[in-house]
Amino acid sequence: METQHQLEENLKAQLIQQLNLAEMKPEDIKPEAPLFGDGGLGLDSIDALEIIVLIEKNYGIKILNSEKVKEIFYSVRTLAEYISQNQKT
Amino acid sequence: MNPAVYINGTRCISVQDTFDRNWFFGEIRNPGKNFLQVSEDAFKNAIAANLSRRMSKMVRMGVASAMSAMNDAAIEKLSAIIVGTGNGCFEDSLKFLKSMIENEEKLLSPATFIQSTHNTVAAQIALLLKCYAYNFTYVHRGFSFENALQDAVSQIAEDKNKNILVGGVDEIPAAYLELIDSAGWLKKQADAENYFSNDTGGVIAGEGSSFFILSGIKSLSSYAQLKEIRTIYNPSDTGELRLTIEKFLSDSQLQLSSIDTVILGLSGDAQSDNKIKFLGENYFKNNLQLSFKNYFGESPIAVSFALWMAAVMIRKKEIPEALCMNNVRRKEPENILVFNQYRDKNYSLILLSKC
Amino acid sequence: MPQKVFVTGMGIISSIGNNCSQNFKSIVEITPGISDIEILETVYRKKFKAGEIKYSNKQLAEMASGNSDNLTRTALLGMIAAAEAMAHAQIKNFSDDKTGFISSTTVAGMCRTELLYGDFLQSKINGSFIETNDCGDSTECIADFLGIKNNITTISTACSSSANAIIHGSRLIKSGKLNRVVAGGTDVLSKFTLNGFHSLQILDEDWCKPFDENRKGLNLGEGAAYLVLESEDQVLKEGKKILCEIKGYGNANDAYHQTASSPEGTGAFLAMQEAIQTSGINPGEINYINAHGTGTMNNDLTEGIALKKIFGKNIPAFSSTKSFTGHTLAAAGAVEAVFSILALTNGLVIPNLNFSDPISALDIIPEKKMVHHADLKYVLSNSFGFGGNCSSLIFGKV
Repeated sequence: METQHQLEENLKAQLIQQLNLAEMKPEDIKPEAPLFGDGGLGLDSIDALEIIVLIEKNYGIKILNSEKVKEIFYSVRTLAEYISQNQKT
Repeated sequence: MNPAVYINGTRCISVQDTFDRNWFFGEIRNPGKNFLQVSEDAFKNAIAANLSRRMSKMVRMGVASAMSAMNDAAIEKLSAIIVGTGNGCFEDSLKFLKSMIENEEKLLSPATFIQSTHNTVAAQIALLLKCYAYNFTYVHRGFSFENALQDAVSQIAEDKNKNILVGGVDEIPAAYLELIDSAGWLKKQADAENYFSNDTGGVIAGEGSSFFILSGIKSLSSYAQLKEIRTIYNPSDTGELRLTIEKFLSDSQLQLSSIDTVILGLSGDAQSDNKIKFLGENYFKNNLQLSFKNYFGESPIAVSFALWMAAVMIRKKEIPEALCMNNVRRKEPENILVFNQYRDKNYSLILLSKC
Repeated sequence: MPQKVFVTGMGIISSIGNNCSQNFKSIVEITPGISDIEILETVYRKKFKAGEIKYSNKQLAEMASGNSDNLTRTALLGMIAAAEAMAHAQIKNFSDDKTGFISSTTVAGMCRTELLYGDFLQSKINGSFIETNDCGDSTECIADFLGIKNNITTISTACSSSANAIIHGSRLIKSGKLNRVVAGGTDVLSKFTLNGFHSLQILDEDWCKPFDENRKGLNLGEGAAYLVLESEDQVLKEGKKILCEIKGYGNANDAYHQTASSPEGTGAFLAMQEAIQTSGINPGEINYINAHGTGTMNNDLTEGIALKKIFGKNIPAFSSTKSFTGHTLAAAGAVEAVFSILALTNGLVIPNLNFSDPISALDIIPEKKMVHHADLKYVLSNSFGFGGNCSSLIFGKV
């Protein structure tokens, strides 16, 4: 089982790849920075849907409501916590 | 045309260095391949990274040339955005389709689906400019750009003060090339050199984007006057085309001898080039003839490169010798006729004049 | 002097009927066409409902009197609907240079490509389906079938496409450039769009509920519809029967997001405002609105906000007929133009099916019941598409 830190680093790389954040490197993303809206990564509703696909593909977790993504998945950190709690072993 | 229509700004992105405003057929790229793909190096800084991340190459080309055309005309407010594209956002369409097939309809990317819609380029331009104005996308094969142009002209007929952004854009991703090669549309690589003179089938495929600012008001930056446009669908023979050209000229109140330059849409495919080649050798034999698809490749919107060429030649008052196909004397261009065809079905005539 | 634009014919095929008369009967008898998917091969057959036309391509080809070999389902639906429109308008000569054909589509030939691309990826041979893949293919097939030779074009602006085709046709006639235009669109159910909309999570697994607080998304549909538009001079010259007038139209861009509409409903508001302005009538004169009303959280809220901005407290009777046919994508504008004209000419306000509770943020209520013998003079129809493309049409009784 990955450490929380490893999971966060993997997530950052996956987000960069899936969301085409071409100019970013994992070290540019602070784990606690907001993913959505201004003041953080500035992701939008389409990115929210892409993250749902990413989580199901890479971690086997199905999220059925994209509105939940914005509330619960505030940052890379909370995303990693959610995955740790819900990942199928 | 009433009122008169002027091209007040333009920018072209193609396999040649057309994005560089100083380029004028000095160094011409000839990769000797049966497809001519655009390198994004020249314009990659035209769009901010955070804005372009979701954009396909098609959208980046369209947006970059559109924004640059606006800068060229020094205008900020648009009355309409009108785009022509024959194949739309093909790369994203095939990407989504491939993923759908391989993943058996599961876990598909919404961003790819959204970006595959045909009006994505026009939509992105509006989004970036926060432009609420009229926004149309024409998608009719080799008429796509001409239809967009005709719409722009009709907008100006309603109000000559309008500034209309109109352009053509198409892409040739690898997945598309594979398909047209298999369908027999693409020139065999072995025949790619000197392909205008070897009577073989297939075209050299090309991609890119040309955008223009049209207005009913002439400005200091006006390149040329767009005098007349006409489309001809599936002409039965050269006789029908000739009659149409004659009517076109008489409607424009011009004699054939006043057309100092004809830009011909020869594509390299022997069969589709037949009618234009015949008219070039006969009807237009005393007019200076230029080609363009050997520099830009063939695509549904290739004619937009010819319009860009004509506009720049009129402004620079010069015809580059490299483009000439026959021995008629070059003059400072006053009336340039673009005579194009796409797959021997979509023919068009565009007349551009000094202003 | 700008020419007035009249509708002299219309044709339609949808999940509620193969022609105008059958569609009208289904509306009057309130028999929607949204059901389980039976013809389209997809893993989602049991999951989503759609407004599917229950004919195979072979059967459609027989109806269109065409050979189905190289004709896509998109072309076939278009041929059937456009032929009905032409016959209805009793056009004698459609190959002259003052007649045009403006079609529209989003799926285009993808319905065929998606069946063949998998094999191509394996074998890399037989890629000739590329010939029917693009948007212009169905248009040229329909034009060839009808014998229309000139002024042919195709528009694709997502879900506002065929409304824009009608706008473009109207402008060409108003300016005197053409005397007659057949304008509309065609779109079919495809795996591509079903999966695309599913990836956006905006499909309802049940029947869609336009303008309802508990709406969950849209049902896809398929169909084709065309109007024959003619100039006033042309109509007088040939003594044509007129169905209605294209009184006004508007197109605007929301410029907010690729798929979502702005919270203020800016694009929708501007399109409706322009339609009303070009019509020369007051908002209060509009008697019925055929809304875009897809049943998605976003559209119905923002369209409602825009309606309130335009009409204030006096929103006329409105409904979404997508609760009958599903969302027919590019064809929606023209399909709903036909329904708007049927409503106008028959004094009918069509109900908004599956509605229970108003959207709490809006508190506006669509027509829940059919209204017969309504005194309708002007009908507004909305079509809003991805890419912020918003269009509105106003039909006037003559």
